[in-house]
Amino acid sequence: MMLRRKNRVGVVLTVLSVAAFLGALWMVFGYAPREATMGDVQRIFYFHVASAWVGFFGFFVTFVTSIVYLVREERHWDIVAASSAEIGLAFITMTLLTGMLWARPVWGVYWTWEPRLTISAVQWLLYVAYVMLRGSVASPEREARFAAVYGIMAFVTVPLSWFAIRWWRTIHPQVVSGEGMAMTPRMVQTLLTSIGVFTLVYVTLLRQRIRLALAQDTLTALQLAQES
Amino acid sequence: MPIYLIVAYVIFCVVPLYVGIRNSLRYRRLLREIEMRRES
Repeated sequence: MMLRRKNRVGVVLTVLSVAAFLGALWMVFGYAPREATMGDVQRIFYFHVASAWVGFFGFFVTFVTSIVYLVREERHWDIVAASSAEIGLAFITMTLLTGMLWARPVWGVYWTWEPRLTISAVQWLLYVAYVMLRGSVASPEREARFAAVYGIMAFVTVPLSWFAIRWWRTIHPQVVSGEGMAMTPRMVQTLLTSIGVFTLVYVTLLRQRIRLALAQDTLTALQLAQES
Repeated sequence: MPIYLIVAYVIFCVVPLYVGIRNSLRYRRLLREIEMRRES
């Protein structure tokens, strides 16, 4: 039985994630240099960008698996879509909160309604609604179909958010521009490591969330069998 | 060290940890319930 099998891969992934996370923390505070203009508070940048990347990636996975679900109507694609959206939302929540903490000393305000931040707020609300709406529809098939269409449509906020700082006048800094990254090599290494580590954490959490959904399905099937 | 930086990194550490622990506990609870139903 799959559920009873020892979760060795999960344990290895968790240990690797924790170790890599601690390593990335060391790079942020002990390896990356102090930024000249903003000082130490600029160190928020490394995990802030990594967290936004994982949030976007999580929503992209939801987008792709939602399309596959609509084509094939196989339950496991719906499980991946739901799991990825939930984890992506957790990371985007972190991005918003830490962005506010970074904005306060640098811009003088926690929040301002400029294009990138406004789109991020709308995106956050859309995915909160996605998570809340799941489970509120009586028929599981209808819920999955509805969530798949919603997951595809909500994804439009990801490219919008990405291009907002390129299309409109905004105070949000642009990390990657046509001229590359305006950072020292140590800063770039720390940023890329943070992105890699956060992606590993995402994979670990996604795998765990998928197992949880499979266990829930097994329990529901058992309950139905015992009731009938 | 700026307080904003410290709070931000507390959030970065706590949120993934919270999501992981919560899902792990829910998974264990579900497994127990599945075992109980199979035995009954």
